[in-house]
Amino acid sequence: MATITVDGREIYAKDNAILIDELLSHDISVPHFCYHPALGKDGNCRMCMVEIEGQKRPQIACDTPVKDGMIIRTKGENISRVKRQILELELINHPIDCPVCDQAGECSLQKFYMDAGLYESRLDTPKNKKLKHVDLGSNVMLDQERCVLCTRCVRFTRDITKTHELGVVVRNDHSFISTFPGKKLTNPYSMNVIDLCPVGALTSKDFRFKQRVWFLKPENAICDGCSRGCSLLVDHNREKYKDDIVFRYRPKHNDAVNGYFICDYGRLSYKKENDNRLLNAYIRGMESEFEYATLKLQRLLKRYNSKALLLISPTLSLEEMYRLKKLAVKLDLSINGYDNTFDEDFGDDMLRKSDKTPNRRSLELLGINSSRQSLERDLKDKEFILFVNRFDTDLLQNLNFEGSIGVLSSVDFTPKDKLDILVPVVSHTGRDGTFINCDDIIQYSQCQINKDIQAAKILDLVEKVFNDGIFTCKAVWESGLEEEPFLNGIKFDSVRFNSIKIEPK
Amino acid sequence: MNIILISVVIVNIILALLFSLGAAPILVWVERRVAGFIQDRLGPNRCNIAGFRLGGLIQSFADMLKLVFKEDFRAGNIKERFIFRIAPVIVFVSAFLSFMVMPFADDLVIGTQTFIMQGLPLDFGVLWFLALAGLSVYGIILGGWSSNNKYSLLGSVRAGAQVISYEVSMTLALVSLLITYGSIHLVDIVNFQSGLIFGFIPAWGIIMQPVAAIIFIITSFAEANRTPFDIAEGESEIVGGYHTEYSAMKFGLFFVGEYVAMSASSALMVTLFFGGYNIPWVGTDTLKEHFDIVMIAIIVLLPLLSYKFGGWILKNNVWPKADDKRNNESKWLIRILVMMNIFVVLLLGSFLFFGVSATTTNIAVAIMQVATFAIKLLLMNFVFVWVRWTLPRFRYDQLQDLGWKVLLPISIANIFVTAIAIVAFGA
Amino acid sequence: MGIKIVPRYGKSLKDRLYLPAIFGGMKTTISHFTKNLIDTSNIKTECYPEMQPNDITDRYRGVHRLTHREDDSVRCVACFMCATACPADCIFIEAVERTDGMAEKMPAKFSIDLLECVFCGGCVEACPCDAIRMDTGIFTFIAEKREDFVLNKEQLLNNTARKEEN
Repeated sequence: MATITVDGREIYAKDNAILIDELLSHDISVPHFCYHPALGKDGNCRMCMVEIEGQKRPQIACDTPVKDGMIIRTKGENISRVKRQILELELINHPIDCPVCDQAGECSLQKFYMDAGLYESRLDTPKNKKLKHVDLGSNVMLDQERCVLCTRCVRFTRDITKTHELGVVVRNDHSFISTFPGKKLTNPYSMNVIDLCPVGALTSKDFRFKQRVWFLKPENAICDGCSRGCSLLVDHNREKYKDDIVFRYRPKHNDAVNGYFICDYGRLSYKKENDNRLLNAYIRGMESEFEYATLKLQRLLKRYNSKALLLISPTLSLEEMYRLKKLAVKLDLSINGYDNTFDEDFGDDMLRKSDKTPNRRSLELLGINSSRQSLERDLKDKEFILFVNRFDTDLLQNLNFEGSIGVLSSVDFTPKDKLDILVPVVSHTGRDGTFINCDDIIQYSQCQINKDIQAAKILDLVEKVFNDGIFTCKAVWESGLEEEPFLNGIKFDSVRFNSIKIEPK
Repeated sequence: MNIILISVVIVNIILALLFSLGAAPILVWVERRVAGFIQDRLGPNRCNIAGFRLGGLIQSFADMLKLVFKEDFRAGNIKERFIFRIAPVIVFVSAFLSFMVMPFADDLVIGTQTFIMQGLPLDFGVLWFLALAGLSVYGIILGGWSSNNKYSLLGSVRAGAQVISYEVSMTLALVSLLITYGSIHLVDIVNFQSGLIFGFIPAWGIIMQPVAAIIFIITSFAEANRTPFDIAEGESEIVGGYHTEYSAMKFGLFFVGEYVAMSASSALMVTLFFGGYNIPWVGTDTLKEHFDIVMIAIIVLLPLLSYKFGGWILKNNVWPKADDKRNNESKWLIRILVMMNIFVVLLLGSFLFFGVSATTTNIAVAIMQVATFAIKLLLMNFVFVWVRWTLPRFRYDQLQDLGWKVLLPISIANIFVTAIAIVAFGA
Repeated sequence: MGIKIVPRYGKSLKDRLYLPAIFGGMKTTISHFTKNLIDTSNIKTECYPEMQPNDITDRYRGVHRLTHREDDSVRCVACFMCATACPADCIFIEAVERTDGMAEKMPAKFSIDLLECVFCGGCVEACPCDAIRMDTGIFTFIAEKREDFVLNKEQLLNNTARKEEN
């Protein structure tokens, strides 16, 4: 442990750690472009200058190890002058097209200029012209003029994905980022360079010009693309007179699960929250009133009871599974979690897993059967089967099932005419819930976007049968879920803000 | 029953209707134009029928028509529909009926018969007025309560409290007057005022009983819910007060009822304190005796006044756009004025020339007294309007302070002083 | 520190009687009334449709307009600064990529709801490209339907600056 003094304030830091890490972890603002915790130091941008007592010149914080007794100044006349000079150099060839730049609002260059720059331009020579629309592939757009050449993107393809697609070409102030001739950015994590880029040089083709970032409201969630369950920031906004729309997913830093990155598949999976949503309830293929359909669904379950099967999806949250299991006990229904959405080509050794459902582990832990044999066994002399949060009714084709079918789904699909009842439910970001990922890490997805679509939350539907006032995840936990042995006494309030590794016996 | 009796009764009822109901649009117009002039603006002056604006009076008729034809909207939360519907009617009817006992002229003698010139020929006019003026607040309370709206309820509660506080002082002020006059018949009261004090001051109520007059004027402002006592509809605090939920003609009845009540209050004030239908210094008998002189005076004065009035019309009744049809109005008004002058002068001239019978003199005197009453009534109404655009509204506590701590003790004291004076000096 | 003693009024008998003050006020109002009744030409009221206002200054904030580039195309780059600055949230923009090389971005739709607009001029202040101005001098905007009060991009582009009256 080392004690260092920063701006007159003593802080405790790890010995031999990198200075910028310690400063940032103590919420001391140090402007930086090229340094990134996941990519390490490169030392090319020179923005993170700090004054260290005993050294003649200011030093870059990203390449200075912490020593006990260091006295550091991050503010002051001298540092401001240095920062202003560096910014002036960065902005010599910058087009300053913030009004049209998608990064405006979350741009480091913009922020540092407002913090430390604020000078009149002394430049009257024409700026270097470079390419402004380069499609790098994988939804990444490059604007070479805006680039500050921090090489974060280059280092990402070199060190993280090891695909080596990007590089810096041409010398001095003509240099720019480019792919190798004839090559494209193709790796399945390539859109992370958009988040890595501190300026507007790399932007998302998918998000391009859709929305200004300061309108977006970020909320924490868990990705439901695969069983990894990466932490996400869901950026959504309700424009005036319009529905609430999810505009993009961003990775949220979570060392326990995904680090700083997510895959492109997960990043683009926000689209299913907006598009192709089921908008109406249907009874025997005919559009129906939502309220009527939910009542009818309750009546059907009560009528068939022991002759009904709940076929639940591993995309449900832990709370929903727990409540549905309770419901099955109460109404004497059978419950099964058989699901076969594995994609062996999808998984890799970085983040992606072959199991493309976020919560299959909970099924096992709650003791809900999910094998094909158990489904065949459960289906015997059943007259009603309810698909919960899934619509893969095709799987019944080989199981010679003759009874009626009900579906709860957030996704619109055809054909609907074979179904007895179809009720829309909210999508993944429409309700909160906890998920247990492939490594037994339990995480809480907080995001609850309230869309104009009339759709039921499964917890609410179950509550209508029980009529016990349990609508929220917290209430479900307190009603008995937290006594489940595999949770080892974890309380909801601790899951809420942390990812916790559970150790089932 | 004979034809004269029926026709006199019909004339009386028509006069009462004219003074109360017919006065409402005129008073609305007066209110808006006077407000405009007091605040250095124009007021309504645009509405016209074939160019005739009558100084903006047409606007009032247009507004009344609009109220009649508007959608009669009732909010869904109003449950007491019957009371909601009946409330404005109570307000209107009580204000209207209270006007019915005002004497427009001295008792008319035709042949051997004598007629009381009132809408309702009753001889307990003061009591009738007090009874009905107090009744109108029921309309306000019921309307405010049945609106099922907190602002309406607040407005009607305020109105109820206000009427309770001020009705007492009003009645006590009247008691001292009645001691002075010795009668509750309004015609007797007016005739009492036709005399002179010290030979040159008209014996009007305001001179005989100045304190009672001030108290009565103040309380009748409160009784009519007019500024500065209009907290019942204080739009700056409680939206519209008791009539927030009302629209179309239901609102119209409240609206007209307010003006009829104001007119009725004015009429009673004129009758009690300002000599009623009396022309100052000229009693009914004097008029009848010297009718020739009166006619000559009219023949001389009428053209002179008309000349001044015509000049005023030509100067002020213009429209900024040159070729507008509204600019033709003054020309026609002048023509009508000249025709009227010629007609009146010829008529009076023929009377002078041929001489007149006693009945004709009586009728003519009655007409002059009705005209006097109308002019006094209009002036009193003007005072109501004038006060409204001068004084700010009382706060609720100030209003109650004034009613209970100031007006009530003074009016009681006034009764004692009056009674002592009557006992000591005789009637 | 000096203490200023503010004189309190309303304690004398004359003040407490109220009636002198009331009569004073009524004297003021009646003098205005008689002056205006005798000669209405003293009143400064303008009879509006017949008499048009002639005191609209250059800084008057009228209905908005979108300015043009030299080649008459739209100057706006859909940066949403005006929509961000708008306190009434009455500016609705949809951005689209611009292909003619003048800029990267332009508005596909740009509409202002004049019924919601408070005419504060915040959008003009916020615009980094001088693309929106409120110098049309249109102080009254009339339409028959609510929808007609929402000016779209074409209407805003067609609005022109007010001509100087000499």
